[in-house]
Amino acid sequence: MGTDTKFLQGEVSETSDAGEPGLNVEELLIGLARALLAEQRERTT
Amino acid sequence: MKARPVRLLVIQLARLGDTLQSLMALRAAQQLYPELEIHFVCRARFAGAAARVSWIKNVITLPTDELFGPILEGRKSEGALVPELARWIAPLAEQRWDYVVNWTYSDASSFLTALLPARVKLGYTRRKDGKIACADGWTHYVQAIVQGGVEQNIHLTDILTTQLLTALQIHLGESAADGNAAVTSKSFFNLELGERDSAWAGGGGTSEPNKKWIAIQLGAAQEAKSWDPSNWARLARTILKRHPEINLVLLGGREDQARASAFLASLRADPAIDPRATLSLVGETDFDLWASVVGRCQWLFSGDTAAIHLASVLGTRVLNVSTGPVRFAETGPYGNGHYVIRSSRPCKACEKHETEASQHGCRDLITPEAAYATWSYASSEWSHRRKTPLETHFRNLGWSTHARSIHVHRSRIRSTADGGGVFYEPLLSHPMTLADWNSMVMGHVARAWYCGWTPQIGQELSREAVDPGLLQSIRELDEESGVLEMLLEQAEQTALALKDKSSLLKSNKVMHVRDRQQIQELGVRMSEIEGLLDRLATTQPALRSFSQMAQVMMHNLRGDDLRDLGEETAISYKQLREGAVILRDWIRHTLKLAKPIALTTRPDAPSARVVPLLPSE
Repeated sequence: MGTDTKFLQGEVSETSDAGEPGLNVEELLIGLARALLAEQRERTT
Repeated sequence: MKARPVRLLVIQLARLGDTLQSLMALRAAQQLYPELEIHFVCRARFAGAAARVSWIKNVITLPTDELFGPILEGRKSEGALVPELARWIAPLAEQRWDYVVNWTYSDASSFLTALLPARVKLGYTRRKDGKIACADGWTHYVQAIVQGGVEQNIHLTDILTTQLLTALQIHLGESAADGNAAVTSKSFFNLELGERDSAWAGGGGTSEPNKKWIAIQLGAAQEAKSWDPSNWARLARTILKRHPEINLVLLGGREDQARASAFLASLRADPAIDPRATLSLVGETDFDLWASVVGRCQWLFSGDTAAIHLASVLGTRVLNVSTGPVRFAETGPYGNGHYVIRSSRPCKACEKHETEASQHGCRDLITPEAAYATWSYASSEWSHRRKTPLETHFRNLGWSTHARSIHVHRSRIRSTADGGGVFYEPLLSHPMTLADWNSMVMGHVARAWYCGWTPQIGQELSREAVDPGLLQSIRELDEESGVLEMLLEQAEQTALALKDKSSLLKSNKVMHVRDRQQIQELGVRMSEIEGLLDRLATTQPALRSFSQMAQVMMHNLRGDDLRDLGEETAISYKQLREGAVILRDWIRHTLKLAKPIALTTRPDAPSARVVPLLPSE
């Protein structure tokens, strides 16, 4: 038995030189900033 | 011809302990795939360890203090953070990565992973709709089981190692190396040692050949995970009085100064203790000195701290006094011959993740006498070769009562033939709980799902561990697991029907009314089954793992149309059903273990004496 290798290989892109198609870079950056800040607040309290 | 470098970026934004576990996993991967060019992203505060590893090409630090300090102090607005982060990310986003491996398993790290272009990604990332996503199967498991609060017994270092190696094997092929090289080593780090280290090594340090050193790491990130300094001091007094060849070195950060003072005051109050036998380096060690000291000591004593991972990397034996909300099977010391002591009684504060240390009764149930008995047993393994049970050792010391409220486990690395990975063997007889039993089952199921190979069912389950209480719980689970298997099979069949129906459609949007109705009916049926799975998990918490895995897998379905989604749903439920079959095999095996056994089977015996181990139904 074993899981379908689809689940083991990770998320695969055709090329590594293009960003993820369909992802909004600005939204991701805002999300990253908010999440890191929340983590930092939690660590310092 | 030298192979083209395979460029791997690892994101580890958690704490130092996680960094050290990641380094161990990376070392194993790098030994098998020397063509890996490893780049490591971590917080500036915890960069010391990665910076001292020669086979890491580049350490990229996230300057948390500079980025967040002004905002947290109110000197800058939150809006200023986005362009600063963009400037920090730009050099990473401009590069061509073969692999981006996110081992942080946090919300924040998923955004970073999504921002970086790579041929293959592992760990948390983001979907096109912005929601968090698992890039691979092991990440399903981490989210649903490890972070979902379900007991399981695969060490995090083994999860990380297997996750990466499996992906490398799929994409790069089998490794040419045999994989038998040791991962841990005294020379794991290239330390840069200054005069302070010379003073430790030459002055009060390890220059006397007859002296043995024990490092005690005082304190932990959370108070509940640290043993009281008075307990450490009582343990130290016992050791120093009985073992004149031992010296102690205290380790800790600046925040541990008060603990060190209390410890030293307690030792000084005892006139029988030579104060020169204890050296305090609390608040004085950078990463290099800390690693040098831990590496040169014979033992490290510690709670749940990064020090146990450092000692594991360096091959120094560990006595882990494990208190507070810790799952040592996942994050305990890694390697052979480490000992973990933990309270055997349920701790309500641990269950509720209480931060107030005084609420944690588990901290008081481990006595210094129990810690001494365990260490003296462990450090004399060469003489008794573990043929003397630990219980006998406690009794010989006159401290049997101190063994009643604790579990003691000894770590060992399984042979490759037994599946590899670290395993913690219990050394004191205590009834096994259903949660303990279930964690073994879950570990077995995960290895079947993600390693494609499993050892024999119940390999590490002894007959003695199965007591009437556990047996009763397993009998109850037997019936419910049958329902689980049936539901998972129905889900798989429904998903396959959805896939078959969708395959015949010319469009996902425009279809015959009858087709739409049939697809809606299949969707309703699938929702009903999911609801029943959730209800089953509420009734029987031991089955929560399957319902949580189903939720995570359904959230992470990939596909552009109904056919793809139906197919992937069917694959997911097939995986879960195969897991349920393993669970049922474990139930059958455990019930069989508890059946009466014939003590003699000689044909000439007047009658075979049959002894019931446990009352049967």
